[in-house]
Amino acid sequence: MADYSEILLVEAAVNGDADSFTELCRRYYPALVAIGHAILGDRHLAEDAAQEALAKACRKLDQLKNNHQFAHWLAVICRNVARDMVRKREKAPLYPVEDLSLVVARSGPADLTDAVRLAVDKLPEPAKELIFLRYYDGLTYDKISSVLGISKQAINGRLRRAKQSIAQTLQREAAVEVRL
Amino acid sequence: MNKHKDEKWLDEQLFRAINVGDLQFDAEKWKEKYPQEYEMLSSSARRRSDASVSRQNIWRTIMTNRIINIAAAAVIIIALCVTLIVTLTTDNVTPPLQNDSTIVMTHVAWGKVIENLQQIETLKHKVFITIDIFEKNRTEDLDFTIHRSAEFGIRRDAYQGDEIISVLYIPAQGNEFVEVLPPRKQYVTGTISEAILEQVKQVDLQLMVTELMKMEYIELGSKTIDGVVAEGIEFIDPKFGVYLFDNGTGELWVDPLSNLPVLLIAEGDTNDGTRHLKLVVDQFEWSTELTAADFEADIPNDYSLWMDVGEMGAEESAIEALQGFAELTNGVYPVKLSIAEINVQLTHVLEAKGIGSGQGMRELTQDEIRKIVLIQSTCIFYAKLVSEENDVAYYGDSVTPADVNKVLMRWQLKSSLYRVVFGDLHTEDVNAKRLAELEGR
Repeated sequence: MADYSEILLVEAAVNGDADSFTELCRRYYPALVAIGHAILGDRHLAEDAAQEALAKACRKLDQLKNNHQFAHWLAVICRNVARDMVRKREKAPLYPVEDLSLVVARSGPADLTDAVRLAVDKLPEPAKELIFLRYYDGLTYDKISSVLGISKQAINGRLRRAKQSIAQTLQREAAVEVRL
Repeated sequence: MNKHKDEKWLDEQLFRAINVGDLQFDAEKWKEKYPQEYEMLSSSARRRSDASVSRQNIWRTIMTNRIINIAAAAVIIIALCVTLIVTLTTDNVTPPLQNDSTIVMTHVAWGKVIENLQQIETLKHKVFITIDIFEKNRTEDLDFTIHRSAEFGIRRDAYQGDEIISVLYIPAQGNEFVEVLPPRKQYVTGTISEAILEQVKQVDLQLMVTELMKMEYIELGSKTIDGVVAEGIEFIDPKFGVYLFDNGTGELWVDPLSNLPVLLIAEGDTNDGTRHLKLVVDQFEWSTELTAADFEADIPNDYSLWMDVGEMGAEESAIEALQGFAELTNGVYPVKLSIAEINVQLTHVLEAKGIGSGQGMRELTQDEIRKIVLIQSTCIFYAKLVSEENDVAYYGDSVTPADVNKVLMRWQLKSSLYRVVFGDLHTEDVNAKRLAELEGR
């Protein structure tokens, strides 16, 4: 849920206060880039998507129905922008590396990281988005809760399931056993 | 390669694989890229109606308006809340941290934190409580200074600005408490039941941190707090703050040099999302000098007794409290046994009954205030049952005083014996089989 100071910022932004809107952009830019990256598979494209989403939000600010749900509304816009960008081009793989088992066979720390990235890429989009929100820029549950419009407990449950899925992928395809 | 990895390992790998480091919004570049949008925003004629948001101070509220007595009653309980926020709301499902090696990318020796806290005999710290009431566009602030002494007890000073407006004394010996309210020139007395006495009198923070360590948590890394580069963990356990709010979360930040806490945050919402409660505990003064005089109740001669709220937190008073609540609400029990939920429920009922300070409205009577205090303390009793894993259940959302044979609340007394409180508040001790029949299982 949005905190009190944020509601005041949204209120002011809706009433035309540019500084308040800029502050909201600063707060949610990392989350938007994380969402964009989960969909587009590229950080620079994700930053473009986040900036475009903020511009769209700016244009549509008078359509915001519930100031408490500003972050969630912004995230929806960003997701749609990123999906539009995907439709206009072939989606790039999240990390262009070879087969997961080949990666892990080399057994180096960097390769293991690649294996984890590939396992993340195999997640369904909502789970991948959540993993990105959590680990991309170290967002708190509080902020993720605002962005996704769900409770922290729900986030915890979804995050756990996403990690279990990653663990299963790593075990199945890379023979790395992760006990959660 | 080690074939057996754990969740910490996966967290670390995910962090390495995905984290991009510092990601900053460049406002100037964005403005250059989208000048029309920025101009549109700046010169916007959009204006919503001025939903002015007033920040009222709860102490003005206490003394002047319709919730005067509810708030005053809350004052008594909040002192307990601060002490109990974590000590009564944990479970033992998640194993405690064993040592610092279980915390990824932090350097706090968590085992040492608990050890250090065991050595603390005296402590002074601050507590700030913020309550956002969304449906009324209002925020209420509370500001406390807590003095704790293993030898002398607890004193909690509540402030409005620089003025002390309430002082609560809970001595180390005995179970009576006194709260002095200088603006009213009155004081309140009561007793704390044996059931929750030890938790209330917990002087050091050892139990608090030990219990927190049992919770499900995630690492937050480090950040600078008042000049200290502290390391933190976030608690996301469903049991956290269970008697205060829903969806409770918390953060504990520790100075890795001293291995002592520098900041504790707890917050959560009411179930209907209309209120948000946040507690910030900080400004710790460890082993500060405190004397017996600091804990002796100072009641000036011209002060009078406002009320004695009786015993709080006992099983017997819990039943009385449920009865009292149903009387206040014309036959409805608390939907949930959390203080925030109860206050929301009561506010709606009392407003509908014309209780307040507006024209033609009346204030709460002392009897009504006592009922509110009792039901609040029952939340603490309930939380204790939860924390002790007494297989407790509460069905106030569907059971009414007319439901003579329906289970309103139950908890386990021993392995096969349960105490059951029925809708009409009579109690029976039954075995597990009979309980299953009663609950329709």
